Amino acid sequence: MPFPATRLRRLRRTEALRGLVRETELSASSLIQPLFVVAGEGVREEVESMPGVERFSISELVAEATEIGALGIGALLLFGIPSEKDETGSGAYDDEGVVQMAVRALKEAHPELTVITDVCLCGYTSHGHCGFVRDGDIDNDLTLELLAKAAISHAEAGADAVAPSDMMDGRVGTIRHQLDEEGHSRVPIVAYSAKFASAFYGPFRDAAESAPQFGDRRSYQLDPANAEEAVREAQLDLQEGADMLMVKPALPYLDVVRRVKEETGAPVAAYQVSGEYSMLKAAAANDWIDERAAALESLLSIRRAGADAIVTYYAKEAAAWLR
Amino acid sequence: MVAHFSEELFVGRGLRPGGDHLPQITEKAMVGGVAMLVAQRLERGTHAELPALAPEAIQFVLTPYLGSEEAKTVAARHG
Repeated sequence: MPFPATRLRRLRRTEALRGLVRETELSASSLIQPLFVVAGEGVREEVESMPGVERFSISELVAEATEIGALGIGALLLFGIPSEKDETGSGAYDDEGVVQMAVRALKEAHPELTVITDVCLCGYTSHGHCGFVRDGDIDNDLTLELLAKAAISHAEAGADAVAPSDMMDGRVGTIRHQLDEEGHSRVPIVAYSAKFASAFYGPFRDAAESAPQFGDRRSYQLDPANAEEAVREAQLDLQEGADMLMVKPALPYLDVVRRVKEETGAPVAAYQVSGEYSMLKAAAANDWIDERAAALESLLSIRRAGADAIVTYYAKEAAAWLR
Repeated sequence: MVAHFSEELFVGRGLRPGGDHLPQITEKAMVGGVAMLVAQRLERGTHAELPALAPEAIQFVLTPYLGSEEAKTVAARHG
């Protein structure tokens, strides 16, 4: 029935009416806080290109996790920055590596906190690529074994879920198979299924010290032009045993978030990446936007697009704002 | 089989300064990677491809001990 009988503004008149018909909710429990852990003692250093984001040594990380848990944030996603790197990224699958030790410390101090670990080699390889490099290219199939060993070491340390972010073909199936073989069939895989070769990752590479030393990652990450291919990646990951699918970045790829959700029906996470975060911070620092309103609107839009969970550097701030 | 070849590789730690600090699982990861390459060919019935895998496999298993350049040189010589 058209205007004037139908007036959609009627239900927008008061906050209570708007609340009754609100379609999308944003809560701390749907947020995931990424954290960077470094070797050493008493380290708490700010990442220059990401205001408010710090790298923590393990004891400081545990203290930070106390605050995160108190805010009701759903989970944390852990990235390791090793003291030494080598050509096969051996720190990634070292039982005594920085992430593995951090997971043990976190789970001992906060057994109730959900700890997800990023599974990749780029932070651990001297060349900064996500796999074993041979003749200037990533050897996909040999890399799978290294990734699986990394995932197993995280699970054995106590990780609640592992999140392979490398974009190698077949990695979810390999990791699932080896986790099951090693007695970790209850550990879910949060697969970075649609990870695009994005310009928005710049500040993260500063934070994680993981910029590639030669070339780029376009031979394994998705072309930003391709949404069909992103859906295929998601479907393949599901077939291989992924429990949750991730789209990364988030805001420039809301169409992909929506399509992955609709075409798979699986739980979907979206990663509001460092560039998205730093742009909001920079605009807010210049008083060009209302940071709180803009950040919450961005997160809400990601939820509205279909994301069940959002990985965001704003998790702590947003959780406090949402209280 | 994995245990046997892992033991064989373990002596490679002596070739690299600080090699004893490599993760305990390094040898199993290297052998596991090669085993996967071989298993894929056996499953597909493409056994004839196996000899051609030698350079790739040799470079992979030697890289933790020799570094990629030297591992590549050895692989080219023996692969």
